Formats: sequence, C-alpha cells, structure tokens
Amino acid sequence: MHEADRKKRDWESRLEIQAGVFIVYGLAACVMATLQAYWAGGKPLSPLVAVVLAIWATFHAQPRPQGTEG
Amino acid sequence: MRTSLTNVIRKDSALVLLLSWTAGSMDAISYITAHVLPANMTGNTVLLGLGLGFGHLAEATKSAVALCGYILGVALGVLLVDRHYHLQAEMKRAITSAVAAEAAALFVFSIVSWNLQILGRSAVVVLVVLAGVAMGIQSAAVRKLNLPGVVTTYITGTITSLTSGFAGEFANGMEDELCTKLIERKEIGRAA
Repeated sequence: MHEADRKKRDWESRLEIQAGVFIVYGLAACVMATLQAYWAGGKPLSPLVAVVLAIWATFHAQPRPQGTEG
Repeated sequence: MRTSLTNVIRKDSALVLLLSWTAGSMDAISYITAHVLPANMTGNTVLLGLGLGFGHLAEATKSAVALCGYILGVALGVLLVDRHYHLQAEMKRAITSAVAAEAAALFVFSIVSWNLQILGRSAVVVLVVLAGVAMGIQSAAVRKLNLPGVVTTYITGTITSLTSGFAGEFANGMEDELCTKLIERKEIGRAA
C-alpha cells in the first residue's frame, strides 16, 4: 500500500474512533437521564456492565502488534 | 514490522467505546447524585471554584474530594499498568488489570449507591471518592493504549482532535485546489 493511502486510512480511522467516543459519551449521559426518570435504581448498573464488557473485550482481543506507530 | 494505526484502532475500538460509555454514565450519575463530574476534571475544577466563590463549602468539598479521588485513581492506574507492562506483548494483561480494578471500584460504587437511603447522605462522599478513583484508573489505562487524540474521559480533548483533523484536511484540500488552479493559469499563460 502506498504511504499516502495508509496515512489517509489512519486519519479516517482516527476520526471515526474520536467521533465514536464523543457520540457514545453523550449518549450514555442521555440514557442515564432516561433511567433516572423511569428506573433510578438501574443507573449504577450501566457503567458496571460496560466496564465488565470492556474486560471481556480486552481479554478476547488479539495481542497488540509490535512497533505500533502513534 | 511496522503496523498501521488503523489496525491498532480496530483492535482497541470496542474497549475504547465501552470505556467512553462508562465515563459518560459516571459523569451523569455523579452529577445527578452529588453535583460533581468525576471523569471531567475541567468541569469539576469549575464547580470547585464556584462552590468556594459562592461560599457553598459542602459543594466545594465534594468537588475537592472528586479531584483527590481522581488523582489517587490515576496514580493507582499507572502503578497497575506499569507493573504488568514491560513489553508491548504484555499490554493486554496490563490494561485488563487496570480495568478490573476500575470494575471493583464501580461494583462498590453500585452497592453504596443502592444503599444510600440506609447509609445516609454522608455516604455521598464515599460515592464521589469511588467515582473519582474509577475514572482516574480508566484515564491511566486509556493513556497507556497510546491512541493519538483519543481520550475517553475529558471529551474536550477528543472534540479538539476531531475538529483539528477535519479543519486540517479541509485546509489541505483548499491548498491543493489553489495550487492546481495556479498551475493551470501558468500553463494557459505559456500557451498564450
């Protein structure tokens, strides 16, 4: 792959993950407001379930490749 | 072997998005419960300043406690990650240990949160500490992932990187277009 193509793909991936983080963060706050209105006791479950899934995701992820460019 | 950033982002995207959900949830829950922002120390520092300025010492104390909890969490997270992380191959174990510690803090947070009526209003301070510690650990873990411009806690940094990326690409596009036009004009001038 050409260097320019690789750079463009990296740039797109970075923007995608940044946009994803922004949207998910805001959406989580929005869902918490809804939970507060309808099921206040369920609020603490949301971050707990997400972090347990995050452990699962880390555990099942492939090992990170060597020589990562940052 | 050099690996592209795209491959790294793909591998870590689920983890990063789940941790963003955790941070967004924790900021919302803590703001509703105690008027603090444990994942967002910029906002929390403003709340601390406002509390002090208006003389609302109880509010200021909660913000200060969240700040201390966050600092403690970052220190704990760095210790946990660095203890396991010596080689790139050990990254998975390092991140898992930090996220597991965060999960433990969030588990206690949930228990205290569900029993707030029994434990009394003073337990809110415990909630604030636990939330700060959990978000501090998360920040340290995500920092270790070393994804450029990706932070799951303070969203200001993410928005800045996102907008800079778009604006930079737009500026490059404009520059390229301008160059092409100048070359075309020169060629037309030569032909004439």
